[in-house]
Amino acid sequence: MKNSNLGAWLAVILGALYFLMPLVATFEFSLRLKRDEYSFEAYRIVLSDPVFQSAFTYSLVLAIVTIVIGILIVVPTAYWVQLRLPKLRPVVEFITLLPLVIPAIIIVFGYIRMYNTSSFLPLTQTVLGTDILLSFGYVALSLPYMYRAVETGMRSIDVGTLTEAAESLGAKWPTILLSVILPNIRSAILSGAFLTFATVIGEFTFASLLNRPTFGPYLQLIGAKRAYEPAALAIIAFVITWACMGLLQVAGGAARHANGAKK
Amino acid sequence: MSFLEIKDISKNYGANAVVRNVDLNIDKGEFISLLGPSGCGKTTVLRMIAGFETPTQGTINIDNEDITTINTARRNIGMVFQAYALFPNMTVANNIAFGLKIAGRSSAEIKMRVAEMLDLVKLPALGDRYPYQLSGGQQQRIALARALAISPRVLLLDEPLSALDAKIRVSLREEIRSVQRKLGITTVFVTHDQEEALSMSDRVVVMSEGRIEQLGTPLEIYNQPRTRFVASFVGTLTILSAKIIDSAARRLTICDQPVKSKLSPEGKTGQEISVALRPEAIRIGKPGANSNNLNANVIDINFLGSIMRVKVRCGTQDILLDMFNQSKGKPPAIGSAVTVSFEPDDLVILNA
Repeated sequence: MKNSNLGAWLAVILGALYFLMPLVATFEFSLRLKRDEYSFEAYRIVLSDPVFQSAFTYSLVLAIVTIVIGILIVVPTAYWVQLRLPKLRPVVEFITLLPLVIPAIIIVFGYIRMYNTSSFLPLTQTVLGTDILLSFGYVALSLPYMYRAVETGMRSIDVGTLTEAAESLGAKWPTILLSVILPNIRSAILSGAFLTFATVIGEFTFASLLNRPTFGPYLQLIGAKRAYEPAALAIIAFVITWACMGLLQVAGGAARHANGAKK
Repeated sequence: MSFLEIKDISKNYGANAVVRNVDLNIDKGEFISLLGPSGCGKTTVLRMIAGFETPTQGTINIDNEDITTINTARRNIGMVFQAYALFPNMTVANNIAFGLKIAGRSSAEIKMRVAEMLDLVKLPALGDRYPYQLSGGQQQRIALARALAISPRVLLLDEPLSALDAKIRVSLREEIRSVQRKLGITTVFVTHDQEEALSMSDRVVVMSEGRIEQLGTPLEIYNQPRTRFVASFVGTLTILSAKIIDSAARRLTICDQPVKSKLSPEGKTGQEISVALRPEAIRIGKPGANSNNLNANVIDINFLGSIMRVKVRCGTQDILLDMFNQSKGKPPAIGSAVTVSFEPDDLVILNA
């Protein structure tokens, strides 16, 4: 009993060290821009860099657009599959998992071939077109996370009976989706949204090959040129990711509360 | 003219016929139960009335309006589900108000109606709660209130008591019935529980394999089951084989002992037919002037609380009979020879 406890603690401590040491080291390093004293100078430089601000804002907007498009595509699809086409579930699941199987670089090369300036839909010809292409690419990339999250949420409520109950009270499809289904899978949608957010903020391949100034390529650029600032940026990226995870936990906690109490 | 008319509806899923040629006329204010084992098509009939399924054949009219292909949302029916189906994201009051908001009623009217409905189901203080804060019985009452709030033309109840425990089930069924009487609303109730069907309904429809086996008042269904299926499904019953001696004189034999029936059995002399006896119609000893008497041996006694169920054997056939558990009367000893008696009225001749 005591031995196994000791072993468990040892594993936890080793694991924590494995994850925390590089992080602590990076953080410590990021504070050493000024000789002989710890300071947040590297952070100040990074945060006041207009390129950082524009790259981060750009990625933020892309992430939000991706989340909105993702929700608009995934929620009605998952709803319809659950309600009317349960036989299609394996097919839809397979399609949503494809982005995990096909490397991003292959997808983006496919896009460039399909939508280049001499194609039938020359999206890459304009900046707006490329942005549209990029955000749809991100929707595809985050499909596995968004669909999984929403589908799990829908399975946890009795979509069929709730729909029928609303129908019998006179509600039509848009009302049912908006006021009955959506609020009850809100935490699932939030989970999907945060995962999408984290994916988009750190994405490099798509943005780089489509030549768009997002946060990912900016991170790479700084890393190639500077010493302390990349470390600060890495910490900033970690904090953002952790904030996402934290929000996910809160949303998940709310869902568990609602589900647990339902019984 | 009936209020709810179901004319010759059938429902097929591919080659599988789930409902076959069901005809049913329900009067305004009537409480009808569809009773049968699972898979008998009762729920499918209800879902066709609700509009969740479209009949393969036949029509459904409410108040002389053909609703067969009308969208559920425009049928103005109230439905209560086995799984309650309250909207988890809304308070009790908002659940009840849902249909009224969709109908575009004013907020003052909605508020009044919600209060009225909460009073009707005797839960006036629970408007601000969420469904997960309520017990199963309370949730189902709210579901009833929500269904009734929109003043539906027909109330459909799909096994609303099945998910509840025994005590709540009994009290809620009395409550549903009293609310239904108070409002005089035409109601179709689906259940596999014969006690619920018999105790609540004006008329009971017994279904099997997609067909109506028998339609009648609870008393008729219980006392005069027309088919072997109805007899065996509703209540406890002993089905015996009897031989026709004289059809016109209504004379038969059961295990070679003569008995008389009230109705003439159909068939030739010497033909074997099925007859049925309820345990409560048979007594030990005390033969009356015109009663049928059979000599039998006691082979088993089951103590069920207020009654004792005695199994006697007559020839090769076993017969069940009920005795009240009275302090005076002693149960017969197992193995003892007894004479059991029943009236010709109680001998039910089964058609099939």
